[in-house]
Order: sequence, then C-alpha cells, then structure tokens
Amino acid sequence: MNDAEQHQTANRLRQALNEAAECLPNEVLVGLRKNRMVALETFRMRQERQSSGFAHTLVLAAQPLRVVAIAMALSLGLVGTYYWDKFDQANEYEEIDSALLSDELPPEIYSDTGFHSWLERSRSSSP
Amino acid sequence: MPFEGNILSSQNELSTFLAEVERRAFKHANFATRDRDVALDIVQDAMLRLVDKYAERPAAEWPMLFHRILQNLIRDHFRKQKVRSAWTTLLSAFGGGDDDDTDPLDFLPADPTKEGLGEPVAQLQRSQVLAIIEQEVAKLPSRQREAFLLRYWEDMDTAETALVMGCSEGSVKTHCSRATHVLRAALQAKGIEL
Repeated sequence: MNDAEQHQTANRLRQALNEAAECLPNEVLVGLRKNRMVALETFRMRQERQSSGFAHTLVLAAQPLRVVAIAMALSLGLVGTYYWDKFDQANEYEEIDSALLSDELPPEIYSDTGFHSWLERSRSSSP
Repeated sequence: MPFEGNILSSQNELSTFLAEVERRAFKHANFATRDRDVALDIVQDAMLRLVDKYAERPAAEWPMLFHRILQNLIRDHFRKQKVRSAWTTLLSAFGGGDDDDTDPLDFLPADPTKEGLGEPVAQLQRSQVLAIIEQEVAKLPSRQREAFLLRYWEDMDTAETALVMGCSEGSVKTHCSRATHVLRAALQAKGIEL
C-alpha cells in the first residue's frame, strides 16, 4: 500500500470513527456532559480564588509600604527633635556667653581655682 | 467587572473546547480500556487535569496537552490494573478452587448494534460496519492505535503526534503505516472494503 492509498484508507476510517462518535449512547453523553460541567465549575472556582488571591496580594503588598511610611515619619520626628534640642542648647550657650561678656568680672577668672575656693569660703561664711 | 468578563470568556472558550473533544476522548479511552465507566472516569480526570494545570496556556495548545494527559491517564490505568491483578492472583492462590460455576459469557456487554433493531436495515447494516471498524481499532496494539488515532482522527501532524506520544517522528510513521495495513486487512477479511 503506497502513501496515497494509506491516506485514503485512513480518511475513510476517520469518517467511520466520526460517524460512530456521533451515535454514542445517551448515558455516555450524559456522563460526558456531567464531566464537562464538573471541569468548568472547578475552573470557575479556581479563577475566583485566584482573583481574590490577587486582591489579597495587593493588600499584603500595601502593608510593607505602610510600615515604611511609619518608620520614615518616626525617623523624621527623631531627627527634628535632635535639631530642636540643638537650637535650645545653642540658645542656652548664647545666654551664658552674653552673661559672661556683660559681667563685671573678666571670663578668665572662672578658670582660676583660687577664685573658686574664695567663692566657696565666702558662701560658707555668709549667714 | 473586567476581570469577571475575562473569567467568562475563558470559561466559554474552555467549554467549547471540552465539548468538541469529549466524544473522541471517550472513544480513545474506551478503545483502550473497553470499559465505559472507566473511560468516563479517565475523561473526567483528563478534563480536570487540563483545567487545573494548563487552563492559562493558549487555547491552541490545549488539544495537544489534553491528548498527552489522556494518553498518560490511560497508561496509568493499565499500570494500576497490572499491580491490582498481581495482588489478586497472589491472593486467589490462597483462596478457593475452580468450583465457580458462573459463565464468563454472562459478563459480556450487550452488543451495541442491537440498539438499532427497530431501525431500517441499511442503518442497521451501517451501524454493524461501524461497530466492526471500532472493534478492529480496539484490537490494534496500543501504540499503533494511539498513533493512528492521533495522526488521522485528531488530525495532528507527525511532529505533534510524536510529541504527545513521547517518541520519534519515524516511530509515528511506522506505527501509522502498520495500523492502517492491519485495519485494512482485517476489515477486508470481514468483507468490508474501504
């Protein structure tokens, strides 16, 4: 049998098989329909689960962003407080400096240990 | 919602595909197992596996994937049956003797051609011819039948058939040629000319 004869035979057999597949008993057709419905229902449930899973993933993805935002706000607060303290300290130093400069005593006298002991003595002797 | 629309369109596409392929899939499984209920179960499993694993793949790939799954499930069925029968043989060796008086012919399925008794003679003859053709197809060695059905009934080319069967294109050609020869000879012997 050559190629052409082989294809011709195969084609006739295919027609016969198609014809036979059209005449399946009713209970088989019902069974196949049920199988198809089960498969489609499984597909629908799976797709729904995936879509709700997608939304859940979005919420979860937003979670770390929120954490990062809070951490950034806290860091900004800490840095702000630090600089605010620095300003306060600078103001205090400024006040001390201006008091020292405007005082009658020269600033060098505060580094003189004799002056400190005289101050202690005069404080304890005063009533 | 656009997402729901997507689900519906792919569900329709899948439904069309399954409806198109289910009868032939049943026949494939039935030729191999010669058991209607087992064939239906195999088709069910194949559909579920396609939906579960490959529904997201392009629809053009579904026929090949589905047939690959189907053929694997048919092979799995025979593997399980082999293991089961090995155990049954082992256990029956310890069981009763040959005093069973049931006739094996009682378990033979009814001739499907008898369903058309009330129909015109020509239609009955045609259905008998179809039944004989199907019987001969079922008698083919499994690999030859698989190659023949995929190549000529499912209209796959040689490369696709080879991919589904997991063999070379040369093997597919050989199986197909042998199957066609055997079928032609067997049908001619029964007076059926193709």
